[in-house]
Amino acid sequence: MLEIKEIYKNFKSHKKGIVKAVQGISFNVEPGRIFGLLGPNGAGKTTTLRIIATLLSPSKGDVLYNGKSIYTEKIEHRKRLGFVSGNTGLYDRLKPEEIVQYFGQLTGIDKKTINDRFNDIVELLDMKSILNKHCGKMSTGEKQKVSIARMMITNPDILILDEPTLGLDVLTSKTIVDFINESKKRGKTIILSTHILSEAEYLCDDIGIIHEGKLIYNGTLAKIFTNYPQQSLENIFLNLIGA
Amino acid sequence: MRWNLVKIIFKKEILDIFRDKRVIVSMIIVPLLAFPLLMVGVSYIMQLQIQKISTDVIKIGYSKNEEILKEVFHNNNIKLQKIQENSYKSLLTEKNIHFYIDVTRQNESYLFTTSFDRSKTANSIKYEKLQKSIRQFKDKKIEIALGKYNVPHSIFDIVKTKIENIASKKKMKNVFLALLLPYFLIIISLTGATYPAIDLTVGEKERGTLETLLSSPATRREIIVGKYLTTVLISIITALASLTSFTLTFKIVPASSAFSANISPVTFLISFFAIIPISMIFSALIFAISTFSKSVKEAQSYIQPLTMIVIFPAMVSFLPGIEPNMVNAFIPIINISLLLKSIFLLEINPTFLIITLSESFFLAFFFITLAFRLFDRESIIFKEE
Repeated sequence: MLEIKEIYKNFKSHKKGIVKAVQGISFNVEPGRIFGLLGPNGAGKTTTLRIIATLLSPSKGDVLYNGKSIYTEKIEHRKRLGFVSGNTGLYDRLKPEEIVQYFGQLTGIDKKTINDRFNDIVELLDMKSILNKHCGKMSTGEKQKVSIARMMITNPDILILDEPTLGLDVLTSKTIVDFINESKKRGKTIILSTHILSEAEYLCDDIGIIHEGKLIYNGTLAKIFTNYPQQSLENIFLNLIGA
Repeated sequence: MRWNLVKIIFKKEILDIFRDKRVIVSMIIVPLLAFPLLMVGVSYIMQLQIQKISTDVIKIGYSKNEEILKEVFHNNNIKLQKIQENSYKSLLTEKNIHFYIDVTRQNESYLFTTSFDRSKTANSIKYEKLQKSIRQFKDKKIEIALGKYNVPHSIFDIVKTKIENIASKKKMKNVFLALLLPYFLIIISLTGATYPAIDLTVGEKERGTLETLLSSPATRREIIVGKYLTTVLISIITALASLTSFTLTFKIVPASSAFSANISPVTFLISFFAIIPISMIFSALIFAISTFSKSVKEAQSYIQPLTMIVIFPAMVSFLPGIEPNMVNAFIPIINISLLLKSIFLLEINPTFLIITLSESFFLAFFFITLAFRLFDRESIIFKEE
């Protein structure tokens, strides 16, 4: 289980002074469940996800995985972590297989396993037509498939997905959504950040709403509808952030 | 440090960067082809021009003492043209004549006053030809005068001077090369390091690929070392391409040309090894600057003044009288410039070599450590926050 315990993150800004990006956020994510992190732009979602991915260190607080702090064993944590963001860039001059090989090898997976897994991923994400393309010449949807393939090659236990369907067409979005559902069935621990509330409603088991760096709601999807009956998730979200 | 991960990063960066056509063109093809074409072209044009100037008819304007001038300038390529004394300046300006010569005679002495536009290089070359005719005329007159007193012609040789050049032919051939090549190699190493260092650091940050890489199990230091080694290699390949093209060009151009020189395989090898430390320094320095920068544009704006700073110490090889010593051995870039110069002049001072190399490795280590520190700072890696 992934436990986010009272994390804070402050940044020093020349213009704004101390920026409190995350202020005492706590939540748990269990294997086989999807935690939806919702919030307006600049609420602190990406910072929270970067802290969980060990890209940033919290100013205060800790993140535990199976009871151990992820910061005491960063490399091991990164091996079991898959991180994809809607803004994730790919190497323009490389082909999908080369990117996947690269990240697979960095995680210490042997070439044969990488090749076997890659063949499965190509089938799953319907990537055959883009195998000989350089990533720089791909559409947004094709690129996102490669990003997912890159993440899946290491078969991570924890998936951090930051706006994974951002700017994608309906068909590609469906492929990604199906993949997230499939990963949940395989017992992965998933954190999904999204602006698309219908997607959150469809995929997530638990919901956390961040506003101005604070977690203003944390509970199951079922509970949020019990607490706010006869309202859509969009209305509940807008009410909670005071819009 | 897990070197197997560094190797994976290095291999990927090499594959990635060599697929970039800009790298192939600017780092390899241009140094390989542009310099030979430029130097052979310049050498050829220079020779053609000199040949043309020496065969050109020289037009001399005069207004008096025609007999004396005819006696002095009886060469077929010299044409005497009588003009009005007050019009010579306009005729010179309009290039109707190349020179105006006014000869005055007082008893047995002659005064030749030559007017011409000295800003034209061709005129200076032509003037040498006139001087030669005047000298011959002078010798003839002196000989006649001395003959009257029975003084033998050998009086001209009463004092003789002789120069013994202790420099070998090989060394003399490389004098021009030793002035020029250190400067070029230093600037080319800098150019070679600039593009990959920017592309692999702030370029990745800008394209959004760095975040993914940082979330992989490779540590920041392993990432930097892999990328740094790629930058050093590209810088060395660029300098090597230039050195090779210079070596071949110096062999191709005619021996009479100023660009003719002989880089032996040993000199080539030593110069190649002397390039490595400067490539390491530039790669590390630009790496640190690029890591610190928020965008590729910002990195370029920091690096442009750096190029200007590097140009001047690199030019030390052009300056006469500056020799390698224990003081300039410690001054970065100047020491490498002088080291390369001494390599081409075949007079390497081992102490100077050791100090220069040690200091260069120390500087490279210092800048790469700085890059490590910058890369560890979240505020720099995620600067947009």
